[in-house]
Order: sequence, then C-alpha cells, then structure tokens
Amino acid sequence: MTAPKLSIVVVVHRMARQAENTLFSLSAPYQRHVTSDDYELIVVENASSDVLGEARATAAANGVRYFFRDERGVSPAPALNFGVRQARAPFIGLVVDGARLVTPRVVEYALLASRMDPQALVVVPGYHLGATEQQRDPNYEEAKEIELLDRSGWQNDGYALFDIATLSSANASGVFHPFMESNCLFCARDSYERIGGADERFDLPGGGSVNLYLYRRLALLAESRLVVLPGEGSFHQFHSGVTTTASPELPGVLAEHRAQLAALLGHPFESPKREPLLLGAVTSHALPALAHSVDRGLARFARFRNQGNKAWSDDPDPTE
Amino acid sequence: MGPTLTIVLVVFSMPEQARRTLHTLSPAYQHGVPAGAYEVVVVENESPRLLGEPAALASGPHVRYFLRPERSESPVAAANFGAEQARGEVIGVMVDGARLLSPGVVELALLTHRAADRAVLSIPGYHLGSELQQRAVAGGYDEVAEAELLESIGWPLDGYRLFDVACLSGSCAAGFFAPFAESNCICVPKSVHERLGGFDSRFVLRGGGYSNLDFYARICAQDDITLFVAPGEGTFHQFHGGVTTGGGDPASREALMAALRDEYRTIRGKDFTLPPREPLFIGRIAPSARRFVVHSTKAWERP
Repeated sequence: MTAPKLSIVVVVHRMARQAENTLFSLSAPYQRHVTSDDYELIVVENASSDVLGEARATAAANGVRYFFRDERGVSPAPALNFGVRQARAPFIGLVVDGARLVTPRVVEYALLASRMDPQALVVVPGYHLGATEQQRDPNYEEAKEIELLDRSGWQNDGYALFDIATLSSANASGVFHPFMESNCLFCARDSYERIGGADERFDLPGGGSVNLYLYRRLALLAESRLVVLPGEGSFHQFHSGVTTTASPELPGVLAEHRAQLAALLGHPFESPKREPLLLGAVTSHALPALAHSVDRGLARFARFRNQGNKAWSDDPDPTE
Repeated sequence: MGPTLTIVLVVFSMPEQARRTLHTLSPAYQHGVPAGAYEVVVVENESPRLLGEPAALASGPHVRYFLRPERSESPVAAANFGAEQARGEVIGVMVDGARLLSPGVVELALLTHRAADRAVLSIPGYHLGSELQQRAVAGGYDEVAEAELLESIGWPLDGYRLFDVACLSGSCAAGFFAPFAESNCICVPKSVHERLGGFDSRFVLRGGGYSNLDFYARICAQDDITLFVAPGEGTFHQFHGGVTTGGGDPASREALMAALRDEYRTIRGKDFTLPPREPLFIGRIAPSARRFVVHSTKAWERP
C-alpha cells in the first residue's frame, strides 16, 4: 500500500448517526475523481453515551483508521491533535466536528491545491442544513433533518445539499468576505505543527472557540496560500451541539467563548483578512450562494474604498 | 533552468496595440511571477505597419522576436511557428496580438501547471468599450476613443481596472457558467499542443477563420486534461480594424462570417458547436470583475 497524500482527521463525540453520514460523504465512492489510496480517514472518537464504534466507522468508508479515546475533558482539541499525530500524509484535513457532511469534490480539490502549493490552506465554506441556522430555530430537530436529507437524495448527488441548507454565520456573507473559521479545513501538517496545533487551553464544552483560533493562526502564517472552494460546502447536521442548538443559555455560552478567545489571543477576535484564491467548479446548486457572495462582496469593497481602507489588510502586500 | 511557460504572441499590422499587449506581458505588470519563469515569443507576420524587433525587445529580456514573410491572411502558421520555438513546458497561445491581459494570468498559468497533469488554463475574452467593437464602430468607436478609455482608468497602473471599461466578447457572452467558444489566451501543456498538432493549417481564410475556435474545441475534447477558467482575469481586445472585430458594413461582415462557418464545416464535416466541458474555476476576483460574475449567474438558467 502506498502512503496516502492526504490524511483527514474527523473528531467524533456523541453523534454516531451523523458521523456515519459524514464518513460516507468523505468516502471514495462518493468523492469524485479520487481513489481510496489517495487519502486516509482518521476517525478519533471521544467516549460518550452514543458511540459510533470501529465497526460502523470502517463500514461507512474505505481507508478509515479508527481510534477510541477515553477523553476526560469536554473539548475536541486533544482528540484533533491526537488524530494529526497519527497522520501519515504531509497534507492534512481537519474536521473538528464530525457532524459535517461534505460535497463530492472536496477531496479532489484539496489534493489539487496541495500540489499547486504545499502551503495551501484550503477552506470549505460552512452551511447549516435547514432554512436557517439551527440554533436560531427552536423547532428544528433531528427527525426533521433526517426527513430533509432523505428527500434530497444527497447520497446520489451531494450537491443537492445546497438546496436544503443555509450559509453558516462564520461565513454568512460568502466567499468575498473574511471567514471566521472553517469546519472542513486542509493544510500542511508542518503548518499545523508550527502553530502548535489546536490549543488545548480551550477547555470549554465543544472546545469553545478553538476552531476560530486555529483557523486564524493558520491563515496568518505568511507562507499560507488561502484557497476557498466556492462550489463546495460542509453541512452541519443537528446533534445537540454546544453552539448549534437553540437554548436560553446560548447567549451566555457564546459570551464565555468570546471571553476565552480574547484572553488567549490577547485581543478581541477578528477574522483573518487575506484574499482567497478561488478554486473548483461551481454547480448550479451552489450558484445562489455565489451570487449572494458577489452582492455582499461588492458592498463590502465599496465600504472599504470609501473609508480608504484595505479590504485584505492581513495580506503581506494588502490590496483594496 | 529554462522558462516554464512560453506565451506565443502573433502580431500583424497592429504595432501600437501589440506594444501595449507586450507591456501587459511584462514582469513589471504581471503579479507574483518569479524572474525567468516565462518567456514571450513574438511572431510578427510582415505588413507595412510593423511592430519590429527593437520595439518588441524593449519590453524586456523575456521577449524573443521573429519576423515572418507570410503570404496568407491567416495567423495559423505564425501561431504554430511560435509554438515550435517554445522553450517552456506550457504554451500560452495568443493568436491576436491586440489583446491586453489582466495582471494575474501568468501566475495562474504557472499555478495550474503545478496543480494538475495536463492543466489547461482558459482566460475569458472581453472587448474594450461598452459594447462589442464590431457594433461600437458604427457609433464612432475607434483607436482615439479607445486611447481615451484607457486613460480614463489610468491604465496600466491597475490592470484590473480594464474590467471597468469592457464588455464580454461574443465567445464568452453567456458568462462563466456556460461553455466558451474560444479563448484568446489559452495555456496548454506542450505535450497536448504537440498531440493536437497545434492549429489546423487548413484554416486559410482571413484572420484564421474558426481556427482558434477549432483549437479550443479540440483541446476541450481531450479526456485527460483538466480545464481551468480564470473568472477574475481577462484578455481585452483593442480595436485594430481586425477581421471580425473591426466593423465594416453589416452585409459584408455577415458574408465573411458565413464563409468562415463554411470553411469550418468543410474541414470538420459539421457545424461548429460549443465544447460542453465543465471547467474548474481558479483565481482571485477583483471587485471590478465581479459584475461579470453577477451577469454570469443571471445569464445562467437552471435546466
């Protein structure tokens, strides 16, 4: 067996059914123009009351290496770091929330981008299944989502996921705005190690804002070449997650996350403002999101121009 | 080490336009390109209005110049001659030397070459002016009007501002989500260029007729290529009294277009059809180019 070119780490915790879907969406029959020899899937599962388990994980996709951890903490950060240590490829994928389905050419484009530039930082835009973000709809529930997915036929055409989803607030304005984070992210393993991996001081339930911190640090590495895939997406499945479930406590939880993030950053969080290179085909399903991105992007650029500010101020040679 | 990319620029009776095009092919104008990564091969067919070697070489040491006596009215032989001179692994064919480029074309040609085996990069085409030049000429569009247009955007300070004073070419009129009929800057691996034999020398009518469309369609039909389109870059046609873009009376133009279609039909045994190949998009999209993305999303209709 040849060494894989890409190792994708998927962290799973109390989301057996959702993770099974996610792994299927990352499997070679579903992913186009790649073979299971091209990449490996490293599943790291933290112990819970709803365990996926090795048998179901390896049945969901070829090339799965499964690791079960008796995690005492409440953050996925140690699991993500553990997973990256298992990686055999120099280029890695990071799915910190195993409930994220992906579209069918994510792996192909990640491999392509890594060939184009070994320091590529490949960002898949995030979506929530449903008509609105899941934490904004108290009536959204798992049973409804299962029905939504069944009706979409996503297993046969993953791009149908766009038809039943809405943009995540982390990238609500689309691909011409800075992203706050990405829940399906690819980078050089060296880059991940250079920034010290996922910071395990983020010890709040769900890891708090560890993913925002991780993305910001990777994006601000001078050598990173930011690549965004406008025609692909990662789609959040409902799983009673910490920040993705409607609850009266949510504002307080988010405030706690923000405070920890600012404390560890040393300043309030800002999305990294680097201009992305766009890559990949855009199917008809993703066009409405792209049109939305253009509208919002034009407004943003007009605002920056009027203020005399650079829109991509974190670029080494910032442009308007 | 030799250059990775060779841009072949065919020039005929367009000295001022070609001089400007060469500026857009210079390392000073193209962004993010390492020195020595590319060369430009200028092939000029003889005419009373020569660009000439000194003017071509003034653009920089990355330029080589060849003057050819050419009896036919077609640039096909010049394009193939230029490709034979190429030292790069990738050949960028610009069959009409009057096309200005935006500043990211060379960088993307190099990036796509690294990204995939047999990567092909197609740059969308535009006309300078608010409407296609073959129509605009009736309203007085000419070289003077065009010079004013370029001055109005401070060209060449920011090459992306070309999008502010341009419209999509007829070959790309339906936007980025529909097939193009051709590209006036298409970067092809030398191996694919050789396999196809370059441009088909049977296209002998004025301006090469459908030879560029034919070349594009044959490239798109290769199963083993990866086709990239750069929606944030463009080639921008300068007015030069060209065969199909220079105006003239509508009846004569339509007769010429019919002759060009007939030549294609004779050579290929069928009418020309758009090559239905889905591209991968690549690149940044400057604010000035985004209205064309808007146009493209609107032009596209869900089947």
